[in-house]
Amino acid sequence: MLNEIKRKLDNLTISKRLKDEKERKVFLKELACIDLGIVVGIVTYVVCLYTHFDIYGWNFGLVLSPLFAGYAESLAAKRYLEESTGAISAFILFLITVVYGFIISNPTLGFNVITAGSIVIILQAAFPIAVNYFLIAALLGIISHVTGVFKKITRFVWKTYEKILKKEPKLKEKYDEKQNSKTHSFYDMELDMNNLGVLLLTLEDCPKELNILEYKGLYEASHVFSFKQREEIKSGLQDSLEEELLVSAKIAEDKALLKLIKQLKAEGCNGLLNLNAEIETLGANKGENLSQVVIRGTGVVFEEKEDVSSL
Amino acid sequence: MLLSSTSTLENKTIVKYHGLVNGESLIGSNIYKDLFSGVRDVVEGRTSTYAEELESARNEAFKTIESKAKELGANGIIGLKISYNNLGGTMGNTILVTVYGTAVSYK
Repeated sequence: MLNEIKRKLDNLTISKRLKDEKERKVFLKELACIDLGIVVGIVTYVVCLYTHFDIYGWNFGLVLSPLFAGYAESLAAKRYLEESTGAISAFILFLITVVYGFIISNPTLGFNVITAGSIVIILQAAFPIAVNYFLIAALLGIISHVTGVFKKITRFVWKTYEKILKKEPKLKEKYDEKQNSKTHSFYDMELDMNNLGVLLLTLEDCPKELNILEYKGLYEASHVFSFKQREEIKSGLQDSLEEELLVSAKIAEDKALLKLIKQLKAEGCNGLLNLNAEIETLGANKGENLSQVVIRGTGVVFEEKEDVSSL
Repeated sequence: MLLSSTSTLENKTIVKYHGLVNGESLIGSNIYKDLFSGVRDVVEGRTSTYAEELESARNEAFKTIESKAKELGANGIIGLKISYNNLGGTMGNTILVTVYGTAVSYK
């Protein structure tokens, strides 16, 4: 396979082609087509110059001559060779017109909007596909950068997609996944913390309506949670990410509270006095912020009275 | 809804202790808010943007805690505590406002 490609490439060299009679004829026909294109291009340019076919000093021949040259060459090649020669004459005309029009004929030509536009148009005429692709990409890039319209469109499409398919937020998905995998089965978002057999009070002193049978001592529980700084920066522009962080903090608080209730129940407490909750920032690591919720209080055993407590 | 930071209510009788109620609110890091706050700081000598945002966050947290207490059938919250925590950030602050207390029914 490689040898075959190498052989074909060798056959493409001019010296090899000239040695073979058939190839020589084809080569000469190709040259004739290119020459015809160049002649047509030059004639077009001369006519444009002679008739002063221009606007603000910029001659249309700069565009028309490479176009006509390429067109004539392609027509001739199709007729006599039944294949394209690649519009080489258009490129040659591009060089000729630029050298003549900008350097020889007008050496004092300065760089301004007209000449810059001319260069773009001439390049477009010489390399239409490449330049068009570049212009489209550059134009779309500038519009997108200045107005942010594509970001808005993609965000709108994504939100619509989520709305139509009723897609839940990422955090909820993660939560459900963890719940299903039983790794976090000790926590239920719908759980009523005041209905777990421990009366949680933020009061410093024991209420006179309740009798304390025993003080069990200090209890403390914590839960560490993290959030990404990258998202946090963006959160100023997108409220949903703030909500994600708030939900994370709430879940962390609930989890810490649950841990504390488990400890209290294990020790036989049915109440907690002077409950204090603190959230501390532990620091940032690799773009991720770490915080912890600490809940502490004094575990007590209340005398159970149905009428004054929710126990 | 009666809100009090004290442990007791003078001249009132607490008939039921419902337990803990809490509410949270967040001021997200907003680079634009921060920028304007800085500008106002220079021009007016005060950071009114932050003050307004904090007040709004505190009110939001209070609304949550009150609705939770109502759900429990309470008509008062005692032993009320408020905390402001800066969760940090590279482009601004993320302040979490937490309000919690003990929901009670009194007469």
